[in-house]
Amino acid sequence: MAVAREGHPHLPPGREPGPQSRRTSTGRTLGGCAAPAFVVAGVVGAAMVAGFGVLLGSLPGGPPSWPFFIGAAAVLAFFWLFARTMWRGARPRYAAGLELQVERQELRRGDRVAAIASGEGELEVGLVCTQSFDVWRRISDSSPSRVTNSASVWQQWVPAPHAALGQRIELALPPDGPYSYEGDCVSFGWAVVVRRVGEKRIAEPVPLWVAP
Amino acid sequence: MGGAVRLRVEVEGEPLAPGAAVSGRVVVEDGGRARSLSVRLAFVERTADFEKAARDVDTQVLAEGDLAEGTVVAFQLRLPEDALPQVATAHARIGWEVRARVDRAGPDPTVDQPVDLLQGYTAPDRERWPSG
Repeated sequence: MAVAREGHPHLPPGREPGPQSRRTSTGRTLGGCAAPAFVVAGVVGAAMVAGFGVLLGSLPGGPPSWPFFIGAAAVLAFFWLFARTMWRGARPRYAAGLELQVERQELRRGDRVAAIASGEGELEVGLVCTQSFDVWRRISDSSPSRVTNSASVWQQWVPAPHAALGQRIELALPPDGPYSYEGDCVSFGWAVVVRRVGEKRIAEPVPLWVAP
Repeated sequence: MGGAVRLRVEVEGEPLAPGAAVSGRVVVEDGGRARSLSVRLAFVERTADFEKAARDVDTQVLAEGDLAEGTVVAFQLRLPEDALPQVATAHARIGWEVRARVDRAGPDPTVDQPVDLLQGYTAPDRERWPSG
């Protein structure tokens, strides 16, 4: 059973995304779709540079071809890195081999969240609130673009010493903390997450909806 | 009389409960020409660069005509029963605000005053803003 709304991994199923989340999701989708196009563009560009080098090298007294091959490799690397960045932006990478189950995804502030984490190694389970907020990103004075930044607002981590056995862990939502909110330029989202102790990468989060 | 109008908004009795009356006054610090003075109660999303009134519940016209310096006008608005409390962090704020606005020729002077509700959340590493 899906634990998150399709296209909006920060929302449980059945919860409607706000205007900001819809904009962000569209941007991610476009970025993910553009990545293969950049790979193709890189290959075509590199082939053109290499072909040009071969053509010039075949002329009597022409220059050597190898600088063009280096140039072709540079073009390919540039487009590949660009495409990779866009692809990863659209598809975040999660830690492998960890599982997380949450009993309820619809809660209120002050409720307790029961989670079962399993996986090899020393694990810790976290309750995390993340905010998304829109700002202007100014690359130059003439071209500001609206971007959505995110930052952690609240987090609590508890160790899961026998996680391999899939034991139940309880976490408490703060009674006067932030609540879930889907807005136009500000949003707040809650999730339960698990990671190996000492590692930053988390398993796929389980989103919660926390009512005020 | 034709100079910039400057206002200050004061709200009493914070933190308030959902459904409560929002009482206070608008103080005219610098008077000037005006068509009207109004106040609005709205749930507003704010970041450093953006603001959006997500829910606008009440507007009152408090005075009509020119505003004299030192004028104090009382207002009373009402929060809805399902009013959400404020959440304020270093990067953003969602919460209720009273906006006083002077309708006049040219840009309308406005001032926003946050209204704190019970059980709101303010991140420990932030200063309260807007400053009003």
